[in-house]
Amino acid sequence: MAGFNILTVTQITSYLKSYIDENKKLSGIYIKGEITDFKANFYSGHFYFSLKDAGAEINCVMFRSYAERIRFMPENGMSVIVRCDLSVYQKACSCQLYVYDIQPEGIGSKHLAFEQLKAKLESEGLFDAQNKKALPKYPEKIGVVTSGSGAALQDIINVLTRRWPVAEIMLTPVSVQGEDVPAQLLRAIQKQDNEIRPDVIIIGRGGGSSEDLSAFNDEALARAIFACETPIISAVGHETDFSICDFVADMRAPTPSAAAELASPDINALRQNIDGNMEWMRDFIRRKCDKYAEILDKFASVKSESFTDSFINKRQQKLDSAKEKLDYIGKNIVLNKEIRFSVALAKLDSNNPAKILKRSICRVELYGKPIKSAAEAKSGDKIDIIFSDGVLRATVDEKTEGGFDF
Amino acid sequence: MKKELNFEEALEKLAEINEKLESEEISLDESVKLFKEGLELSRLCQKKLDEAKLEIQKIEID
Repeated sequence: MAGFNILTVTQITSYLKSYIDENKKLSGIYIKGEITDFKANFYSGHFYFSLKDAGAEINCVMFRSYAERIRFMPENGMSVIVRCDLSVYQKACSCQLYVYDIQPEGIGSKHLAFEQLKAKLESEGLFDAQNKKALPKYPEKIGVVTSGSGAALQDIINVLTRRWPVAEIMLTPVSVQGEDVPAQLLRAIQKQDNEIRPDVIIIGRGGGSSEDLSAFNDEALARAIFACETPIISAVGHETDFSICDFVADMRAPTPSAAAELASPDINALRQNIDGNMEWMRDFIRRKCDKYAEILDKFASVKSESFTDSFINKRQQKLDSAKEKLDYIGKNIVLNKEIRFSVALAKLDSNNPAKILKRSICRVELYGKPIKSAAEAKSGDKIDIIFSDGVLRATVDEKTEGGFDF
Repeated sequence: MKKELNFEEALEKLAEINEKLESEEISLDESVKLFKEGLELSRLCQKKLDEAKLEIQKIEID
């Protein structure tokens, strides 16, 4: 192969690389395609992916310094337009795109970033209704986070002067223009929540360009609002636009004026309520007193004399009947006892052998046993004839049958 | 009243008094006592509303 110009692999790939790199038509170009094989390297922070269409596919790399500026997270299947240079990765002699910026096709990157952040926070539960705090009914201090000179503050002051001048506005002014806005908003929210500790916070923004609104779509701000212990009303978007701030706040208001209304009770309605309640209490007490007066009247209408008379009479009657009853019972007891005593006495008396003898003159006993008929003894039996004054001992000499009447 | 109540506390107390009054189980004496307390609270609330003037305090964040 002598005489040929022999090149190394490195030389030819270097040549190819420089050939391409020198071609101004291949740097700062815009390429349209669909993202595939997307990888975000966790350690380096670089993005690696491919762009493809129906006919071809090309490798892409996006270094960290560019990748971290992207507001949204690229995903497989996403149609994008990338701004890039075409160059050669010499090690693999691979032609690839070095990407500086990615724009989602069709919608703006900001919009996509918004949708992505919204979906992310929503999935984490930051918008859940159960995490929303109730607003105080009668706030004494109302924290306001907005521009110190904007229309939003003036609107809030107007509403509160009319509706709820009882409150004190605690204003932490923030600028609403520039890169620093999200950080300022975040510090203001934290100062309100940690140091000022109002009853409710209004975070507000007057009308303005969409650039102003984007500061309220900041993830760190959203998380600070979520972590806030004080209830927050967000009046950031307009009637139709929503900001992330609106979603995560405890309450969303379409305008700063509406936020002030939500944060406050209406003083006139309250006055009426209090007056009405006083009237009710008076009425109530009047009615109660009337009721008692009626009862008293009823007593008074019975003449005192007849009242006491009838009262005493009734009781006298009761007492009398009780007495009668007692007497009756007492008498009965005595009577009963007397009767019982005399009956018992009579019984005792009739059992007395002496008396019995007296009644029947004499008694005949056969060997100590009383006999009542002649049949009980026979001739020769020794009998005792007992009188009340003595005893005759005798022997039966003769017995005749048959009775006779006394 | 020992300590001056704030507006919300006064309103809550008033609501309590209303409830007690309506319960009917209390004596006339007790009702009158509650009524007096209720009037006092109502006047306190009215006073707070009448004397209110919106104040604005500005606190720099840095």
